[in-house]
Amino acid sequence: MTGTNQDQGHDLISASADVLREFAAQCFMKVGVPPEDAAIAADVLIESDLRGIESHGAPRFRQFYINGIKEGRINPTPNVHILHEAPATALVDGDGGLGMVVGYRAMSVAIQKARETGAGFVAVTNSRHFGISGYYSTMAMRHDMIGISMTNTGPLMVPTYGAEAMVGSNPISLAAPTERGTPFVLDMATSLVSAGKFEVANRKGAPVPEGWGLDPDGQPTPTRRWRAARASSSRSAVSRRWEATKGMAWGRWWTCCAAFFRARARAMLYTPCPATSLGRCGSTGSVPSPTSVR
Amino acid sequence: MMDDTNEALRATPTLPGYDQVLVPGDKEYAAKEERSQGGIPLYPDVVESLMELSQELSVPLEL
Repeated sequence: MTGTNQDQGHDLISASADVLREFAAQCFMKVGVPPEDAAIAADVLIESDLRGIESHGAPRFRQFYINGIKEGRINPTPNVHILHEAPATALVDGDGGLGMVVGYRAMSVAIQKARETGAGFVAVTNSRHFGISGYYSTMAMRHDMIGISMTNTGPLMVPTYGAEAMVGSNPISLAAPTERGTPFVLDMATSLVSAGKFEVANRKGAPVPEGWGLDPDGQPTPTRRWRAARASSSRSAVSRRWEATKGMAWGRWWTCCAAFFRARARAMLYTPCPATSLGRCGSTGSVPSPTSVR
Repeated sequence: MMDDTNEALRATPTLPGYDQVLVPGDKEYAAKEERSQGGIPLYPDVVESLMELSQELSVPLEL
């Protein structure tokens, strides 16, 4: 323990990133993940806590990933492999493995292709939840490339004027290196906030700000608990009607892109994300290119 | 180019009550610097879930 502080009446414990990373890696190994993959997954996980994206790090470790492996939703020993490739493109099969491991390997392929050809585009199928999208875009950035990383989620957003959640909060991350100061790193859900922000608000016991969520009648749900909302109605949605239009369009665009990339890469392997389960999302897409435009 | 636009944005005046103009990534880099030094703040229910996991998998964890 390195200290405590207070937040809204909760005593917080400050834990060292190294301790948490090592713990996560050891836990992954205990449930059958090979050491190298365990280290990758742990690094992605704790990186989100380090970046202050607490919706996606240690709090989700047990439920999303460890239980996912124990309950058979995630393959701890996947054969991550390239199904099809061209000089600047590839389609990677994640074999149901941890999304962090699959995402890391897919972006590594994209980086290699970008180094060789000037750009690398990699689509992924058959993956699982990959944590923060920004990890993968910044991987490319560290190689002096522009990094783009996107994925899909289950349906969380209403279409414009719609009352039923139909579109994922499909996140997008763009990263570009700089020579001075901090680099440009955008890492965002296309909904008003990511679903994880509801989890954080619930943890704090804080009301959800108006506009984050809608009830089935399209009214804001300032105090509704996210999990309860999910359980009570499939129509509960992240994002409000008017302001969500742009985000919904982005999210929808990416749904189309995911289908397009997979279909184009190899038509027979087009596998849309199962639309009802967050745990079975496929991570998709990485597009680094050398920064000659900087 | 990215440097110039970032710097141009950061050089503009802030709204009342704010110290600095932020560009995408600034918040995360500041958090990383702070948390690398001072640790990652965890809520009690998160600590509890990690401790349970520590027992369940027999992986020691000292926070």
